[in-house]
Amino acid sequence: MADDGVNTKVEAVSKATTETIELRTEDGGVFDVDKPVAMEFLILKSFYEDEGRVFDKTSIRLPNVKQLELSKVIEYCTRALEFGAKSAAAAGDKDAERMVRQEREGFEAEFVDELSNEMLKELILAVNFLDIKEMLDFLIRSVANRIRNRSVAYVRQFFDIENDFTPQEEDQIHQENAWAFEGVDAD
Amino acid sequence: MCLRSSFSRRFSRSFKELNEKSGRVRDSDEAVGSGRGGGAGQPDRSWAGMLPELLAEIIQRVERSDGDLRQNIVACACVCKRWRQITKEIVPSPSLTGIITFPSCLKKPGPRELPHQCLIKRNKKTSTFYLYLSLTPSFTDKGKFLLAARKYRNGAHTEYIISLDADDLSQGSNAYVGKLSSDFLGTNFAIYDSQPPHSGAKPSISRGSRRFASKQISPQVPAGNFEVGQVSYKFNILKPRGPRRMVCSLKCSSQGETAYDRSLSLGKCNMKKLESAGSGCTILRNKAPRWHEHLQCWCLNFHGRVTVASVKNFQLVAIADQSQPGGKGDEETVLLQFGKVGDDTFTMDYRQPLSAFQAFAICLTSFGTKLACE
Repeated sequence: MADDGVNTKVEAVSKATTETIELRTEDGGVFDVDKPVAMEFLILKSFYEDEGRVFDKTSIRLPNVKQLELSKVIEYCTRALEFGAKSAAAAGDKDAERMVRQEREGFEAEFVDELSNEMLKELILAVNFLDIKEMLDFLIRSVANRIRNRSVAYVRQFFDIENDFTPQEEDQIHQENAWAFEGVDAD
Repeated sequence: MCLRSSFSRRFSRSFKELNEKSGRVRDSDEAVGSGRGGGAGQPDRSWAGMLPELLAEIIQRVERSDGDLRQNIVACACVCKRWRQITKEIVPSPSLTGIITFPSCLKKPGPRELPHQCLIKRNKKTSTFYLYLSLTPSFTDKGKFLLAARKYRNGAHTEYIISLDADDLSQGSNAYVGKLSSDFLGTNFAIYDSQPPHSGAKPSISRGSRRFASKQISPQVPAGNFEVGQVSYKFNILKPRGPRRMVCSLKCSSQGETAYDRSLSLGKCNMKKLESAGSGCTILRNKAPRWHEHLQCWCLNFHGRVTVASVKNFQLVAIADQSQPGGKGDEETVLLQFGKVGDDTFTMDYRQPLSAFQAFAICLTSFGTKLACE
Protein backbone atom coordinates (compact mmCIF):
# COMPACT_ATOMS: atom_id res chain seq x y z
CA MET A 1 0.00 0.00 0.00
CA ALA A 2 1.29 3.38 -0.87
CA ASP A 3 1.93 5.85 1.92
CA ASP A 4 -0.59 8.57 2.47
CA GLY A 5 -0.04 11.61 0.35
CA VAL A 6 3.65 11.04 0.00
CA ASN A 7 3.85 9.42 -3.35
CA THR A 8 1.13 10.88 -5.46
CA LYS A 9 2.73 9.59 -8.63
CA VAL A 10 1.85 6.09 -7.64
CA GLU A 11 -1.76 7.08 -7.22
CA ALA A 12 -1.91 8.76 -10.57
CA VAL A 13 -0.37 5.87 -12.41
CA SER A 14 -2.51 3.02 -11.22
CA LYS A 15 -6.16 3.88 -10.98
CA ALA A 16 -6.91 0.28 -10.23
CA THR A 17 -5.43 0.61 -6.79
CA THR A 18 -7.31 3.78 -5.83
CA GLU A 19 -7.18 3.90 -2.10
CA THR A 20 -10.43 3.61 -0.29
CA ILE A 21 -11.65 4.05 3.21
CA GLU A 22 -14.33 1.95 4.73
CA LEU A 23 -17.05 4.00 6.35
CA ARG A 24 -19.73 2.48 8.49
CA THR A 25 -22.98 4.28 9.25
CA GLU A 26 -24.92 4.08 12.47
CA ASP A 27 -27.57 1.92 10.88
CA GLY A 28 -25.20 -0.74 9.69
CA GLY A 29 -24.35 0.47 6.21
CA VAL A 30 -20.84 -0.16 4.92
CA PHE A 31 -19.32 1.98 2.21
CA ASP A 32 -16.00 1.77 0.43
CA VAL A 33 -15.23 5.34 -0.37
CA ASP A 34 -12.52 6.57 -2.68
CA LYS A 35 -9.92 8.48 -0.77
CA PRO A 36 -10.25 11.77 -2.70
CA VAL A 37 -13.96 11.79 -1.98
CA ALA A 38 -13.47 10.88 1.66
CA MET A 39 -10.95 13.66 2.05
CA GLU A 40 -13.69 16.12 1.15
CA PHE A 41 -15.11 15.29 4.54
CA LEU A 42 -13.01 17.64 6.60
CA ILE A 43 -13.78 15.70 9.70
CA LEU A 44 -11.91 12.76 8.22
CA LYS A 45 -9.24 14.86 6.63
CA SER A 46 -8.29 16.56 9.87
CA PHE A 47 -8.41 13.24 11.65
CA TYR A 48 -5.63 11.97 9.46
CA GLU A 49 -3.74 15.20 9.24
CA ASP A 50 -4.07 16.22 12.86
CA GLU A 51 -3.12 12.87 14.15
CA GLY A 52 -0.38 12.50 11.60
CA ARG A 53 -1.72 9.09 10.91
CA VAL A 54 -0.61 7.01 8.05
CA PHE A 55 -3.50 6.33 5.80
CA ASP A 56 -4.54 2.76 6.37
CA LYS A 57 -7.61 0.81 5.66
CA THR A 58 -9.15 1.28 9.05
CA SER A 59 -12.89 1.09 9.18
CA ILE A 60 -14.37 4.26 10.51
CA ARG A 61 -17.75 4.45 12.12
CA LEU A 62 -19.77 7.59 11.62
CA PRO A 63 -22.08 7.83 14.60
CA ASN A 64 -24.42 10.48 13.27
CA VAL A 65 -24.88 9.42 9.70
CA LYS A 66 -27.30 6.96 8.17
CA GLN A 67 -26.93 4.88 5.01
CA LEU A 68 -29.27 6.87 2.86
CA GLU A 69 -27.62 10.14 3.73
CA LEU A 70 -24.09 8.89 3.28
CA SER A 71 -24.89 7.49 -0.12
CA LYS A 72 -26.30 10.87 -1.15
CA VAL A 73 -23.28 12.64 0.24
CA ILE A 74 -20.92 10.35 -1.62
CA GLU A 75 -22.89 10.83 -4.80
CA TYR A 76 -22.71 14.60 -4.53
CA CYS A 77 -19.07 14.78 -3.56
CA THR A 78 -18.01 12.40 -6.29
CA ARG A 79 -19.76 14.46 -8.93
CA ALA A 80 -18.47 17.68 -7.39
CA LEU A 81 -14.92 16.44 -7.76
CA GLU A 82 -15.60 15.45 -11.34
CA PHE A 83 -17.00 18.88 -12.11
CA GLY A 84 -14.00 20.45 -10.42
CA ALA A 85 -11.67 18.49 -12.65
CA LYS A 86 -13.67 19.29 -15.78
CA SER A 87 -13.72 22.96 -14.82
CA ALA A 88 -9.98 23.01 -14.36
CA ALA A 89 -9.50 21.29 -17.71
CA ALA A 90 -11.77 23.83 -19.40
CA ALA A 91 -10.03 26.84 -17.87
CA GLY A 92 -9.56 29.60 -20.39
CA ASP A 93 -12.15 28.27 -22.80
CA LYS A 94 -15.27 30.32 -22.11
CA ASP A 95 -17.63 28.00 -23.94
CA ALA A 96 -16.34 24.88 -22.28
CA GLU A 97 -16.48 26.59 -18.88
CA ARG A 98 -20.10 27.53 -19.49
CA MET A 99 -20.96 24.00 -20.49
CA VAL A 100 -19.47 22.57 -17.33
CA ARG A 101 -21.30 25.15 -15.28
CA GLN A 102 -24.62 24.34 -16.90
CA GLU A 103 -24.04 20.64 -16.50
CA ARG A 104 -23.32 21.17 -12.85
CA GLU A 105 -26.41 23.32 -12.36
CA GLY A 106 -28.51 20.68 -14.04
CA PHE A 107 -27.15 17.97 -11.79
CA GLU A 108 -27.66 20.06 -8.66
CA ALA A 109 -31.23 20.97 -9.61
CA GLU A 110 -32.08 17.34 -10.15
CA PHE A 111 -30.29 16.27 -7.01
CA VAL A 112 -32.18 18.66 -4.79
CA ASP A 113 -35.52 18.13 -6.52
CA GLU A 114 -35.51 14.53 -5.44
CA LEU A 115 -35.03 15.44 -1.81
CA SER A 116 -38.00 15.65 0.50
CA ASN A 117 -37.92 18.37 3.17
CA GLU A 118 -37.14 15.73 5.75
CA MET A 119 -34.28 14.32 3.70
CA LEU A 120 -32.92 17.81 3.11
CA LYS A 121 -32.83 18.35 6.83
CA GLU A 122 -31.13 15.02 7.50
CA LEU A 123 -28.55 15.79 4.85
CA ILE A 124 -27.76 19.17 6.31
CA LEU A 125 -27.20 17.65 9.71
CA ALA A 126 -25.03 14.92 8.25
CA VAL A 127 -23.02 17.25 6.06
CA ASN A 128 -22.52 19.67 8.91
CA PHE A 129 -21.22 16.80 11.03
CA LEU A 130 -18.92 15.60 8.28
CA ASP A 131 -17.86 19.17 7.66
CA ILE A 132 -18.18 19.42 3.87
CA LYS A 133 -18.27 23.13 3.23
CA GLU A 134 -19.25 23.18 -0.43
CA MET A 135 -22.09 20.75 -0.05
CA LEU A 136 -23.34 22.48 3.06
CA ASP A 137 -23.43 25.74 1.17
CA PHE A 138 -25.43 24.08 -1.58
CA LEU A 139 -27.92 22.53 0.82
CA ILE A 140 -28.42 25.75 2.73
CA ARG A 141 -29.06 27.59 -0.50
CA SER A 142 -31.65 24.96 -1.33
CA VAL A 143 -33.45 25.40 1.98
CA ALA A 144 -33.47 29.16 1.55
CA ASN A 145 -35.01 28.67 -1.88
CA ARG A 146 -37.69 26.43 -0.49
CA ILE A 147 -38.83 28.89 2.16
CA ARG A 148 -38.51 32.01 0.08
CA ASN A 149 -41.84 33.67 -0.77
CA ARG A 150 -43.66 31.43 1.63
CA SER A 151 -45.91 32.39 4.49
CA VAL A 152 -44.76 32.45 8.08
CA ALA A 153 -47.07 29.50 8.75
CA TYR A 154 -45.39 27.50 6.00
CA VAL A 155 -41.94 28.22 7.38
CA ARG A 156 -43.03 27.15 10.86
CA GLN A 157 -44.43 23.92 9.52
CA PHE A 158 -41.35 23.26 7.39
CA PHE A 159 -38.99 23.57 10.34
CA ASP A 160 -41.43 22.16 12.84
CA ILE A 161 -41.23 25.31 14.92
CA GLU A 162 -43.68 26.35 17.56
CA ASN A 163 -44.87 29.91 17.65
CA ASP A 164 -43.62 31.10 21.01
CA PHE A 165 -44.71 34.71 20.88
CA THR A 166 -47.10 35.96 23.53
CA PRO A 167 -50.51 37.08 22.27
CA GLN A 168 -49.42 40.71 22.59
CA GLU A 169 -46.19 40.14 20.72
CA GLU A 170 -48.20 38.17 18.19
CA ASP A 171 -50.35 41.23 17.52
CA GLN A 172 -47.36 43.39 16.82
CA ILE A 173 -45.70 40.71 14.73
CA HIS A 174 -48.83 40.26 12.70
CA GLN A 175 -48.91 43.99 12.11
CA GLU A 176 -45.31 43.96 10.97
CA ASN A 177 -45.90 41.13 8.57
CA ALA A 178 -49.04 42.72 7.15
CA TRP A 179 -47.13 45.94 6.64
CA ALA A 180 -44.38 44.24 4.70
CA PHE A 181 -46.88 42.68 2.32
CA GLU A 182 -49.17 45.71 2.14
CA GLY A 183 -50.48 47.34 -0.95
CA VAL A 184 -47.97 45.97 -3.40
CA ASP A 185 -49.01 46.26 -7.00
CA ALA A 186 -49.85 42.86 -8.39
CA ASP A 187 -47.57 43.45 -11.33
CA MET B 1 -15.54 29.70 10.93
CA CYS B 2 -13.43 28.88 13.93
CA LEU B 3 -16.25 26.88 15.46
CA ARG B 4 -15.86 24.28 12.72
CA SER B 5 -12.21 23.63 13.35
CA SER B 6 -12.83 23.18 17.05
CA PHE B 7 -15.48 20.64 16.12
CA SER B 8 -12.98 18.85 13.92
CA ARG B 9 -10.47 18.46 16.71
CA ARG B 10 -13.03 17.04 19.08
CA PHE B 11 -14.47 14.70 16.53
CA SER B 12 -11.10 13.41 15.43
CA ARG B 13 -10.33 12.60 19.03
CA SER B 14 -13.56 10.70 19.32
CA PHE B 15 -12.71 8.80 16.16
CA LYS B 16 -9.37 7.88 17.59
CA GLU B 17 -11.10 6.43 20.60
CA LEU B 18 -13.51 4.56 18.38
CA ASN B 19 -10.77 3.03 16.33
CA GLU B 20 -8.55 2.03 19.18
CA LYS B 21 -11.35 0.24 20.91
CA SER B 22 -12.61 -1.36 17.78
CA GLY B 23 -15.91 -3.05 17.87
CA ARG B 24 -17.05 -1.13 20.94
CA VAL B 25 -20.21 0.77 20.24
CA ARG B 26 -19.99 4.20 21.67
CA ASP B 27 -22.47 6.97 21.71
CA SER B 28 -20.46 9.99 20.88
CA ASP B 29 -21.51 12.79 23.11
CA GLU B 30 -19.75 15.27 20.92
CA ALA B 31 -22.31 14.97 18.23
CA VAL B 32 -23.54 17.73 16.06
CA GLY B 33 -26.71 18.69 17.85
CA SER B 34 -25.13 19.14 21.24
CA GLY B 35 -21.66 19.85 20.01
CA ARG B 36 -20.65 22.56 22.39
CA GLY B 37 -20.29 20.58 25.53
CA GLY B 38 -24.04 20.10 25.68
CA GLY B 39 -25.97 17.01 26.60
CA ALA B 40 -24.68 13.54 26.16
CA GLY B 41 -26.63 10.89 24.32
CA GLN B 42 -28.54 11.21 21.09
CA PRO B 43 -28.14 14.53 19.28
CA ASP B 44 -31.20 16.60 18.60
CA ARG B 45 -32.10 15.82 15.01
CA SER B 46 -34.94 18.26 14.74
CA TRP B 47 -34.74 21.54 12.86
CA ALA B 48 -35.59 23.29 16.08
CA GLY B 49 -32.46 21.96 17.66
CA MET B 50 -30.38 23.03 14.73
CA LEU B 51 -27.29 24.92 15.58
CA PRO B 52 -27.82 28.67 15.60
CA GLU B 53 -25.12 29.30 13.08
CA LEU B 54 -26.72 26.93 10.57
CA LEU B 55 -29.99 28.73 11.10
CA ALA B 56 -28.20 32.04 10.77
CA GLU B 57 -26.71 30.92 7.46
CA ILE B 58 -30.11 29.96 6.14
CA ILE B 59 -31.63 33.26 7.16
CA GLN B 60 -28.65 35.12 5.79
CA ARG B 61 -29.13 33.39 2.46
CA VAL B 62 -32.77 34.47 2.44
CA GLU B 63 -31.78 38.02 3.25
CA ARG B 64 -29.24 38.21 0.47
CA SER B 65 -31.70 37.07 -2.13
CA ASP B 66 -34.54 39.21 -0.85
CA GLY B 67 -35.67 41.91 -3.21
CA ASP B 68 -36.32 45.55 -2.37
CA LEU B 69 -39.62 44.64 -0.79
CA ARG B 70 -37.79 42.76 1.99
CA GLN B 71 -40.83 40.60 2.62
CA ASN B 72 -38.99 37.36 3.12
CA ILE B 73 -36.66 38.63 5.76
CA VAL B 74 -39.59 40.17 7.64
CA ALA B 75 -41.32 36.80 7.45
CA CYS B 76 -38.22 35.19 8.98
CA ALA B 77 -38.44 37.61 11.88
CA CYS B 78 -42.02 36.58 12.49
CA VAL B 79 -41.47 32.84 12.84
CA CYS B 80 -40.50 32.55 16.49
CA LYS B 81 -38.39 34.32 19.11
CA ARG B 82 -35.16 32.61 18.18
CA TRP B 83 -35.58 33.36 14.50
CA ARG B 84 -36.47 36.94 15.31
CA GLN B 85 -33.34 37.38 17.34
CA ILE B 86 -31.12 35.90 14.66
CA THR B 87 -32.82 37.87 11.88
CA LYS B 88 -32.47 41.16 13.68
CA GLU B 89 -28.77 40.47 14.15
CA ILE B 90 -28.29 39.64 10.50
CA VAL B 91 -30.16 42.51 8.91
CA PRO B 92 -27.70 45.26 8.08
CA SER B 93 -28.01 48.34 10.19
CA PRO B 94 -29.88 51.04 8.33
CA SER B 95 -27.45 53.71 9.48
CA LEU B 96 -25.41 53.91 6.28
CA THR B 97 -27.87 52.99 3.62
CA GLY B 98 -31.15 53.69 5.37
CA ILE B 99 -32.51 50.37 4.14
CA ILE B 100 -36.07 49.91 5.30
CA THR B 101 -36.74 46.37 6.38
CA PHE B 102 -38.89 46.51 9.48
CA PRO B 103 -41.45 49.13 10.49
CA SER B 104 -39.01 50.29 13.15
CA CYS B 105 -36.73 51.47 10.34
CA LEU B 106 -39.29 54.16 9.49
CA LYS B 107 -38.26 56.07 12.58
CA LYS B 108 -34.55 55.66 12.00
CA PRO B 109 -32.55 58.17 9.98
CA GLY B 110 -32.51 57.81 6.23
CA PRO B 111 -29.49 57.23 4.03
CA ARG B 112 -26.35 59.25 4.44
CA GLU B 113 -25.54 59.98 0.82
CA LEU B 114 -28.23 59.50 -1.78
CA PRO B 115 -31.74 60.26 -0.54
CA HIS B 116 -34.54 57.73 -0.49
CA GLN B 117 -36.98 58.55 -3.27
CA CYS B 118 -40.59 58.17 -2.24
CA LEU B 119 -44.03 58.79 -3.62
CA ILE B 120 -47.06 60.24 -1.87
CA LYS B 121 -50.46 59.49 -3.31
CA ARG B 122 -53.40 61.57 -2.21
CA ASN B 123 -57.01 60.49 -2.12
CA LYS B 124 -58.96 63.75 -1.95
CA LYS B 125 -62.29 62.06 -1.30
CA THR B 126 -61.17 60.29 1.84
CA SER B 127 -58.52 62.85 2.82
CA THR B 128 -56.02 60.05 2.95
CA PHE B 129 -52.37 60.03 1.97
CA TYR B 130 -50.18 57.03 1.20
CA LEU B 131 -46.39 56.99 1.32
CA TYR B 132 -44.41 54.56 -0.80
CA LEU B 133 -40.73 53.89 -1.24
CA SER B 134 -40.11 54.06 -4.98
CA LEU B 135 -38.46 51.02 -6.44
CA THR B 136 -38.27 52.38 -9.97
CA PRO B 137 -37.71 55.92 -11.27
CA SER B 138 -41.23 56.03 -12.71
CA PHE B 139 -43.84 58.27 -11.07
CA THR B 140 -46.58 55.78 -11.79
CA ASP B 141 -45.12 52.71 -10.12
CA LYS B 142 -45.95 52.96 -6.47
CA GLY B 143 -43.34 50.75 -4.83
CA LYS B 144 -43.06 49.55 -1.25
CA PHE B 145 -45.82 50.80 1.04
CA LEU B 146 -44.47 52.64 4.07
CA LEU B 147 -47.12 54.74 5.82
CA ALA B 148 -50.62 56.09 5.48
CA ALA B 149 -52.22 59.20 6.97
CA ARG B 150 -55.74 60.49 7.25
CA LYS B 151 -56.92 63.99 8.02
CA TYR B 152 -59.45 64.48 10.79
CA ARG B 153 -61.06 67.66 11.96
CA ASN B 154 -60.97 67.86 15.70
CA GLY B 155 -62.82 70.89 16.92
CA ALA B 156 -60.81 73.97 16.14
CA HIS B 157 -57.82 72.16 14.87
CA THR B 158 -56.88 69.46 12.42
CA GLU B 159 -55.08 66.20 12.96
CA TYR B 160 -53.40 63.75 10.63
CA ILE B 161 -53.26 60.24 12.05
CA ILE B 162 -50.27 58.32 10.72
CA SER B 163 -50.40 54.55 10.58
CA LEU B 164 -48.66 51.41 9.30
CA ASP B 165 -51.98 50.06 8.13
CA ALA B 166 -53.51 51.66 5.05
CA ASP B 167 -56.95 50.49 6.11
CA ASP B 168 -56.80 51.22 9.81
CA LEU B 169 -56.10 54.85 10.54
CA SER B 170 -57.20 55.27 14.12
CA GLN B 171 -55.21 56.23 17.21
CA GLY B 172 -56.27 53.14 19.10
CA SER B 173 -54.94 50.79 16.46
CA ASN B 174 -51.94 48.54 16.73
CA ALA B 175 -50.63 50.18 13.61
CA TYR B 176 -50.70 53.76 14.92
CA VAL B 177 -47.26 55.33 14.75
CA GLY B 178 -47.87 59.02 15.34
CA LYS B 179 -49.78 62.08 14.33
CA LEU B 180 -49.60 65.63 13.14
CA SER B 181 -51.61 68.31 14.84
CA SER B 182 -52.18 71.82 13.62
CA ASP B 183 -53.75 75.03 14.76
CA PHE B 184 -56.77 76.43 12.98
CA LEU B 185 -54.94 78.44 10.38
CA GLY B 186 -52.49 75.71 9.66
CA THR B 187 -49.52 77.87 10.48
CA ASN B 188 -48.14 75.87 13.38
CA PHE B 189 -47.91 72.11 13.50
CA ALA B 190 -46.70 69.65 16.09
CA ILE B 191 -45.46 66.17 15.23
CA TYR B 192 -46.15 63.44 17.74
CA ASP B 193 -44.59 60.01 17.95
CA SER B 194 -46.56 57.15 19.49
CA GLN B 195 -43.35 55.91 21.07
CA PRO B 196 -40.84 57.80 23.18
CA PRO B 197 -37.96 59.07 21.02
CA HIS B 198 -35.52 58.22 23.78
CA SER B 199 -35.72 56.54 27.15
CA GLY B 200 -37.01 58.78 29.86
CA ALA B 201 -39.07 60.91 27.51
CA LYS B 202 -42.40 61.95 28.92
CA PRO B 203 -45.58 61.94 26.90
CA SER B 204 -46.99 65.31 25.98
CA ILE B 205 -50.47 66.28 26.93
CA SER B 206 -51.75 67.44 23.63
CA ARG B 207 -54.97 69.36 23.70
CA GLY B 208 -57.86 67.54 22.20
CA SER B 209 -56.36 64.11 22.52
CA ARG B 210 -59.05 61.80 23.68
CA ARG B 211 -58.47 58.82 25.87
CA PHE B 212 -58.24 55.82 23.67
CA ALA B 213 -58.17 52.16 24.43
CA SER B 214 -54.85 51.26 22.95
CA LYS B 215 -54.43 47.77 21.56
CA GLN B 216 -50.82 48.55 21.13
CA ILE B 217 -49.62 46.73 24.18
CA SER B 218 -46.07 46.71 25.22
CA PRO B 219 -45.74 47.15 28.93
CA GLN B 220 -42.33 48.72 28.78
CA VAL B 221 -43.47 51.47 26.45
CA PRO B 222 -45.69 54.10 28.01
CA ALA B 223 -48.79 54.91 26.03
CA GLY B 224 -49.26 58.45 24.88
CA ASN B 225 -48.01 60.88 22.31
CA PHE B 226 -44.53 62.29 22.43
CA GLU B 227 -43.82 65.57 20.71
CA VAL B 228 -40.87 65.13 18.42
CA GLY B 229 -41.05 68.13 16.15
CA GLN B 230 -42.65 71.38 15.14
CA VAL B 231 -43.28 73.00 11.80
CA SER B 232 -44.36 76.55 11.29
CA TYR B 233 -45.25 78.58 8.25
CA LYS B 234 -44.90 82.27 7.87
CA PHE B 235 -46.14 84.68 5.37
CA ASN B 236 -43.54 86.62 3.62
CA ILE B 237 -45.07 89.97 4.57
CA LEU B 238 -43.24 91.93 1.92
CA LYS B 239 -44.21 89.57 -0.81
CA PRO B 240 -47.73 88.35 -0.09
CA ARG B 241 -47.84 86.45 -3.33
CA GLY B 242 -44.43 85.04 -2.80
CA PRO B 243 -43.30 81.75 -1.42
CA ARG B 244 -44.03 81.09 2.21
CA ARG B 245 -41.33 80.44 4.75
CA MET B 246 -41.11 77.17 6.62
CA VAL B 247 -39.18 76.39 9.75
CA CYS B 248 -38.96 72.93 11.32
CA SER B 249 -37.38 71.84 14.52
CA LEU B 250 -37.01 68.15 15.02
CA LYS B 251 -35.72 65.84 17.67
CA CYS B 252 -33.52 63.61 15.54
CA SER B 253 -32.55 60.28 16.94
CA SER B 254 -28.99 59.10 16.77
CA GLN B 255 -28.33 55.59 15.61
CA GLY B 256 -29.65 54.19 18.85
CA GLU B 257 -32.49 51.76 19.15
CA THR B 258 -35.97 53.14 19.24
CA ALA B 259 -38.51 52.18 21.81
CA TYR B 260 -40.10 49.90 19.22
CA ASP B 261 -36.99 47.75 19.20
CA ARG B 262 -36.83 47.69 22.97
CA SER B 263 -40.40 46.64 23.33
CA LEU B 264 -39.78 43.64 21.12
CA SER B 265 -36.35 42.95 22.45
CA LEU B 266 -37.08 39.43 23.49
CA GLY B 267 -34.95 37.81 26.07
CA LYS B 268 -31.58 39.40 25.74
CA CYS B 269 -31.73 43.14 25.96
CA ASN B 270 -29.55 44.69 23.33
CA MET B 271 -27.71 46.91 25.75
CA LYS B 272 -25.06 48.07 23.39
CA LYS B 273 -27.54 50.13 21.44
CA LEU B 274 -29.65 51.44 24.27
CA GLU B 275 -28.85 55.00 25.05
CA SER B 276 -30.83 58.04 25.83
CA ALA B 277 -28.35 60.43 24.31
CA GLY B 278 -30.27 60.59 21.06
CA SER B 279 -32.14 63.78 21.80
CA GLY B 280 -30.31 66.19 19.55
CA CYS B 281 -32.38 68.83 17.87
CA THR B 282 -32.18 69.75 14.21
CA ILE B 283 -33.52 72.94 12.74
CA LEU B 284 -34.49 73.11 9.10
CA ARG B 285 -35.79 75.86 6.92
CA ASN B 286 -36.92 75.91 3.34
CA LYS B 287 -34.52 76.91 0.67
CA ALA B 288 -35.52 80.23 -0.82
CA PRO B 289 -36.54 79.95 -4.46
CA ARG B 290 -35.06 82.34 -6.95
CA TRP B 291 -37.18 84.71 -8.91
CA HIS B 292 -36.78 83.87 -12.55
CA GLU B 293 -37.21 87.17 -14.32
CA HIS B 294 -37.60 85.63 -17.73
CA LEU B 295 -40.11 82.97 -16.76
CA GLN B 296 -41.74 85.28 -14.20
CA CYS B 297 -41.93 82.64 -11.52
CA TRP B 298 -40.17 81.35 -8.43
CA CYS B 299 -37.83 78.49 -9.19
CA LEU B 300 -36.04 75.78 -7.32
CA ASN B 301 -33.92 73.10 -8.87
CA PHE B 302 -35.69 69.88 -8.11
CA HIS B 303 -33.49 67.80 -10.39
CA GLY B 304 -36.40 66.41 -12.30
CA ARG B 305 -38.15 65.00 -9.26
CA VAL B 306 -40.87 67.69 -9.31
CA THR B 307 -42.64 68.49 -12.53
CA VAL B 308 -45.68 70.57 -11.67
CA ALA B 309 -45.46 74.07 -10.26
CA SER B 310 -47.18 74.31 -6.91
CA VAL B 311 -46.92 76.39 -3.80
CA LYS B 312 -46.71 73.13 -1.90
CA ASN B 313 -43.32 72.33 -3.38
CA PHE B 314 -40.34 72.88 -1.09
CA GLN B 315 -36.80 71.94 -0.23
CA LEU B 316 -35.54 71.87 3.34
CA VAL B 317 -31.96 72.46 4.40
CA ALA B 318 -30.40 72.47 7.82
CA ILE B 319 -29.55 75.91 9.09
CA ALA B 320 -25.92 76.90 9.46
CA ASP B 321 -26.35 79.39 12.26
CA GLN B 322 -24.03 78.11 14.95
CA SER B 323 -25.72 80.13 17.65
CA GLN B 324 -28.89 78.13 17.20
CA PRO B 325 -29.10 74.69 18.70
CA GLY B 326 -28.81 72.19 15.92
CA GLY B 327 -27.40 74.76 13.56
CA LYS B 328 -24.83 72.55 11.97
CA GLY B 329 -26.18 72.52 8.45
CA ASP B 330 -24.48 73.87 5.42
CA GLU B 331 -27.62 75.52 4.06
CA GLU B 332 -27.01 73.81 0.78
CA THR B 333 -27.60 70.12 1.20
CA VAL B 334 -31.26 69.42 0.66
CA LEU B 335 -32.41 67.05 3.38
CA LEU B 336 -36.06 66.90 2.36
CA GLN B 337 -37.60 67.69 -0.98
CA PHE B 338 -41.30 67.55 -1.74
CA GLY B 339 -43.22 68.38 -4.85
CA LYS B 340 -46.04 67.68 -7.25
CA VAL B 341 -45.75 65.43 -10.28
CA GLY B 342 -49.41 64.76 -10.97
CA ASP B 343 -52.90 65.62 -9.82
CA ASP B 344 -52.67 63.49 -6.74
CA THR B 345 -49.11 62.33 -6.92
CA PHE B 346 -46.15 63.91 -5.16
CA THR B 347 -42.54 62.94 -4.70
CA MET B 348 -40.74 63.01 -1.37
CA ASP B 349 -36.97 62.61 -1.19
CA TYR B 350 -35.35 62.49 2.22
CA ARG B 351 -32.05 61.68 3.83
CA GLN B 352 -30.21 61.68 7.13
CA PRO B 353 -30.88 62.87 9.80
CA LEU B 354 -34.56 62.73 8.89
CA SER B 355 -36.50 59.51 9.18
CA ALA B 356 -39.28 58.43 6.83
CA PHE B 357 -41.83 59.17 9.54
CA GLN B 358 -40.58 62.69 10.14
CA ALA B 359 -40.28 63.44 6.44
CA PHE B 360 -43.81 62.25 5.81
CA ALA B 361 -45.19 64.31 8.68
CA ILE B 362 -43.44 67.44 7.41
CA CYS B 363 -44.80 66.92 3.91
CA LEU B 364 -48.30 66.55 5.31
CA THR B 365 -48.02 70.04 6.73
CA SER B 366 -47.65 71.29 3.20
CA PHE B 367 -51.11 69.94 2.46
CA GLY B 368 -52.46 71.25 5.72
CA THR B 369 -51.32 74.81 5.71
CA LYS B 370 -53.79 77.34 4.49
CA LEU B 371 -51.18 79.80 3.46
CA ALA B 372 -51.76 79.02 -0.14
CA CYS B 373 -51.10 82.12 -2.04
CA GLU B 374 -51.64 81.21 -5.61
